Amino acid sequence: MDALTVPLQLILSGILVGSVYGFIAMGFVITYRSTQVFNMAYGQFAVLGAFIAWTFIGSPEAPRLPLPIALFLTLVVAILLGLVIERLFFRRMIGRPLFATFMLTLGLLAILRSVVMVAWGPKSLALAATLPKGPVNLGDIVLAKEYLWSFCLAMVATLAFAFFFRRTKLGLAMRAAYDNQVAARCLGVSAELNSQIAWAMCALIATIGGILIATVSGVSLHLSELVMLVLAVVFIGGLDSLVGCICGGLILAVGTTLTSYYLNPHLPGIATIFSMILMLLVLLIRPSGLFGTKQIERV
Amino acid sequence: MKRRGRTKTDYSQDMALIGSTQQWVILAIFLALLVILPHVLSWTHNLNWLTFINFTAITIIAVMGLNIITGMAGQVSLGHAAFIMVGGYTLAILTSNAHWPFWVALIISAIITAVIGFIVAVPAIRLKGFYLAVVTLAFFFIAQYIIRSLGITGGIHGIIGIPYPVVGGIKINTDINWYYLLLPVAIICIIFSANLSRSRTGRAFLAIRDNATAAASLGINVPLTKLRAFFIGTLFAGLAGGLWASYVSVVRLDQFTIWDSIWYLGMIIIGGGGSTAGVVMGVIFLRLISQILHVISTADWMPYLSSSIMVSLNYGVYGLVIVLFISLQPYGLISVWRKIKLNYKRWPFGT
Repeated sequence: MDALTVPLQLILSGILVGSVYGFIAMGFVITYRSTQVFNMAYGQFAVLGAFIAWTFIGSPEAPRLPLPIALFLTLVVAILLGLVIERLFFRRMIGRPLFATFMLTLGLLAILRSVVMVAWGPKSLALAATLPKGPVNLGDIVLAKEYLWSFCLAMVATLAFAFFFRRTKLGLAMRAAYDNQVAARCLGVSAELNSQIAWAMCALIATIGGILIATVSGVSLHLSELVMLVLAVVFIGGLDSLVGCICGGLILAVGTTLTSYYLNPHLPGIATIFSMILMLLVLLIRPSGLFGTKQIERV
Repeated sequence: MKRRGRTKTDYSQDMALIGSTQQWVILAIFLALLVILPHVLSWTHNLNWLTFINFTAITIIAVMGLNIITGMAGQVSLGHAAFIMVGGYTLAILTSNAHWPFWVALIISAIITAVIGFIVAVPAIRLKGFYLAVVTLAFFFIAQYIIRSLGITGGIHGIIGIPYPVVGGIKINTDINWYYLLLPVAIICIIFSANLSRSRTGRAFLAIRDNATAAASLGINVPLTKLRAFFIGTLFAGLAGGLWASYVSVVRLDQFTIWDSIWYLGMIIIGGGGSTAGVVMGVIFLRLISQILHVISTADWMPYLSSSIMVSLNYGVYGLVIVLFISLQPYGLISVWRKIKLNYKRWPFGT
């Protein structure tokens, strides 16, 4: 029992964390699928969302609102933020070359970072207890309660978004626009509405993900390092596949916990770049990721 | 009616960088001004600007390399700061640990950086667009990890006390002396890059950037050309890194961040991708903005701003400038300059 306990614990905690990563990566993939924009500023969306949440929940000047109301307000602000950013920056880039939009997201990254730094300062803050904490014991395996909660919330949210895309008319419209924007336009799907919804969802998912991670590790600018993990998850799973996000997140997180336990004594800190190495391997062997559609070059 | 502009009578004149006597004269005057610049500055007791110019010269060399990879050959590289870091660390190890002479160490560190760039490029050239950018980003982090973990690189503390070069008995450890060292090196790099864009290799780069399939159909060996672009670009980066290390005399991991890579790309976009003059303009523009911000914020008439606000303002203004240029002037400052020249030539008939 003892020999299995450690790997099992690692794998289980990896699954818990990985589902959150997978959920966060979904925001990135949704933006890419809808608008073909490779949003390098995604990490900063999460940071901004987490800080907004802190303003409503954890900060000393926060109004004493019940937790669900505060969270709801945060999400509303996040959606508004996504819409504003879409209107200001990305509306005029519809139809422009993709590299220009990519550079625009890099510029947006810098702007968002400076907004956060000016508004809230560079310090780390603690998000007040939004999730119950404490260990949960399953036999010999110890799991953190807050991770279990994030896992459940991430699963619920993932299922909600999957339902949206599969069953609702709007989700169908967005999928159609991804496949062929011109044809979708002929059928009445407007590119502008598509863009608005995509960016609102991006901000929404980034904020939820930011809150989930911030409850565990605190609200700080370092949350933006999330974007590297998100990129790794997205490339491992496939750039245009939502299923791939979840699987990529699981694989990445389990792999990271396993390497950090087994390899850290020998190569200190290797767990931090494990995600990069895995992403590189996947990109070299199968660039479209595990579940992504293979790009076929038409000459 | 007076005939304006220069008329070209043969092919070599058309292809020449400096076509007419008038342009030679202007160039000579400009170079003379550059040469006496430090003395003018020290006469006005404004030597901070000389430090700024020295750093700008090093940045020009570095971004020129990135321009070859990204602006000319179209391979988006987000890892350029890592190559500069490699060049800097290599020079530091060679000169301060192994006590090699400066120029030998500089050339060797540039070559080593170029070889590493070549090795990184071999798997990277199979990928396109975002995939390539993310691979170079991954390389950046992996390079940081490797350098942090190796013993000879001093871990997170870096290497200090890198010796300054001694050229012909003159010790290069003041800003003025560094200026006279960096100026010819930067000029040589600019000339090299301008000539490269006119040469067969340079045209191959531009062809790949615009349409790789068409370039392949014309007989250009696309993978080999991409490798060449990475090699030359990272050679410049290694050179810049070595000069940086010796100028600042300290190399540390936190001097080379992912933000630097992003700003370099921004400089290329602001100046205009692919053109040498554009790179120079873009570098000077962004660095000037940073310097002006710094001067404004430390001026007496501004309320005291904490240093973190200063740093974040820097990010914000840089980001804003990049966004504005991409939205409004996607072809960069060089296109604005060319329009001005064209309007001048055709005045009063306009565009």
